[in-house]
Amino acid sequence: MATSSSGARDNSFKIVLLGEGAVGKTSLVLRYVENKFNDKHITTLQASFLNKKLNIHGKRVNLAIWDTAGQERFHALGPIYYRDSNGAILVYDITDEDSFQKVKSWVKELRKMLGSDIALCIAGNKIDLEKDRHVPAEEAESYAKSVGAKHFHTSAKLDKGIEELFLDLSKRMLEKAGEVEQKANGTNRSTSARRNVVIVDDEPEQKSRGCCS
Amino acid sequence: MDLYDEDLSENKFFRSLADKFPNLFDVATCNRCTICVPCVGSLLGFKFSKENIDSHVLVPVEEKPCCFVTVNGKELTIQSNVVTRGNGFTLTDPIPVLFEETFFNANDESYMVLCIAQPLDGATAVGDSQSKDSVLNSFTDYTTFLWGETGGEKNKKLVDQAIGSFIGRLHHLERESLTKHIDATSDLFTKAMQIVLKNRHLKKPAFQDSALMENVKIAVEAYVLHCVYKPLFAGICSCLAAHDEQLNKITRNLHELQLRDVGVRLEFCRNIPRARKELGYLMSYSTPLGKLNCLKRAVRSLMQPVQRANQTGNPLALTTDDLLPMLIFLVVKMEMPNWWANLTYMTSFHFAKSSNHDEYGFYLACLEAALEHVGAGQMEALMDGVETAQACFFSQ
Repeated sequence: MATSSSGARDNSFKIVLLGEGAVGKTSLVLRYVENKFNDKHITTLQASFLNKKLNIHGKRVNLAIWDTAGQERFHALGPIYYRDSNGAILVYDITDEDSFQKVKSWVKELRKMLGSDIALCIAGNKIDLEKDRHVPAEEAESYAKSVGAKHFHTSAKLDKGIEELFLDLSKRMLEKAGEVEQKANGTNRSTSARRNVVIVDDEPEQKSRGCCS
Repeated sequence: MDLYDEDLSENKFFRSLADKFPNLFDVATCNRCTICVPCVGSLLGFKFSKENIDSHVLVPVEEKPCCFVTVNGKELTIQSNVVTRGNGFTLTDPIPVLFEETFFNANDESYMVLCIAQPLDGATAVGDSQSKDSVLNSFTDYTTFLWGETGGEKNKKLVDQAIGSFIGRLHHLERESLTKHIDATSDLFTKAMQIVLKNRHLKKPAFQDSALMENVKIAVEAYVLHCVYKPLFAGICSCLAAHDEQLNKITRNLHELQLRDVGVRLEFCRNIPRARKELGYLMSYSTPLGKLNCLKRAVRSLMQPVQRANQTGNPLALTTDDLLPMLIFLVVKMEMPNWWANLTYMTSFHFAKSSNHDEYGFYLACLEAALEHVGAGQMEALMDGVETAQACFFSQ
């Protein structure tokens, strides 16, 4: 089944995408993973689970981007989607104050459930509609800073700010992964939520997926 | 099954471009050119000359999407993940793109690297890109893979003995917790791996080649769990009986549920019957991976391209908010008596996690979310709402 090796430099990160229905989170992520060499005439774009491979100065990063249920009736299901995630992108629409308030409540929930293990990015989307802005840029930026998140101004329509957002988030996840690895050297990773199978053998080269991979 | 992958920064072609032709590499990356890198298996007999490498550095042609010209002036197009060579190339057979990876230059600007199945120019022998990879699909494949080599018979006997004693001990686990079941099965899997890796023919190569090791794990898991499936799954079912009974009670009351009650988007309704059929095979699989692939096929069929109801020109995007209602509908309608047991078997008894586990993880999360939503009585509340609404309507 497996067709090739995943080397020691590989990092797999899970990113969840949060935001209300009309903030444009789907366009944003589709723009990011857009396959320029694929048929344009397909009628459905699968936007619930996406992959992207990056190579950041020699470090391979495999992003698994999970869309989460945004409808209010599915709110209770949130944790099923965001548990074990390494990063989150919280999207609001700069013309819609309510969508920004919603981001704030997501941040609270994520910090409560996942602590500081998760790297957060807040995206103020639709900057092509600057003239209808209802969320002041300074307010959003200082809020992001106060909760340890990075803020980005994006437009899925103009393809602005999106690549920078994902690159920054990936770098921060790499940093966190590095910290965890350092801590783990010497101490047992007893807090690991994921089950690892370790095969005991006299040749200690066996490498199983780490908890933070 | 998985898509091809390799670490391009270790690829000889990529290394040669970066180390031996630094000027070309700098120009290419600073100008954010697209670089085609032939996969490692296709480089046998490739001549690493400047001319040949030039043919792999592409500049997009303005105003013409999918058209490129190489830095030495040859033309090609890339469409539907296939490279078609044009003017300037001697060979013209299409070359598949295996995967794309986004790299970054010193200014953190991105450029695209495409791993392709064979060189565009300069190949003397036709290398076969994926010949060494073995794909295991059936139970027979697994047994041949595991026990085919010399010494295999002896190891098979040892693994069978371990399986026998595990089954013998299983009834002691009755009324025991799920964790005990997981731990015991995990121990059995580890033991079987140790026995199999004692085989000299497998041990050394497996520790050097992580893809082979992954295949060994998958094969061992498939063999072991297929052998213990019946008694083990019965045990898991009794551990989760309370959960499943509660869910079944609710779904029985929902037999009149309609697609529109769950809020399935009209455009996607057509995909439901196929997904339902796929998911119907779930109980016929005995291994976690077999069931996972069944779930994957079912979800994938929900994601099939659909005919657009309105001709807006924009493709329809399928989000998690679209996917969940369809899965909820299937969970209610499938008449599966042990959803939770099946989900648990897939999540907690799959020890040979492969590199694409994140994708399976997503499908599992969606199924879990659907079970959770139905089990929490959310749909009953909704149906009550419908009835109340109808009652109001008729009483008017």
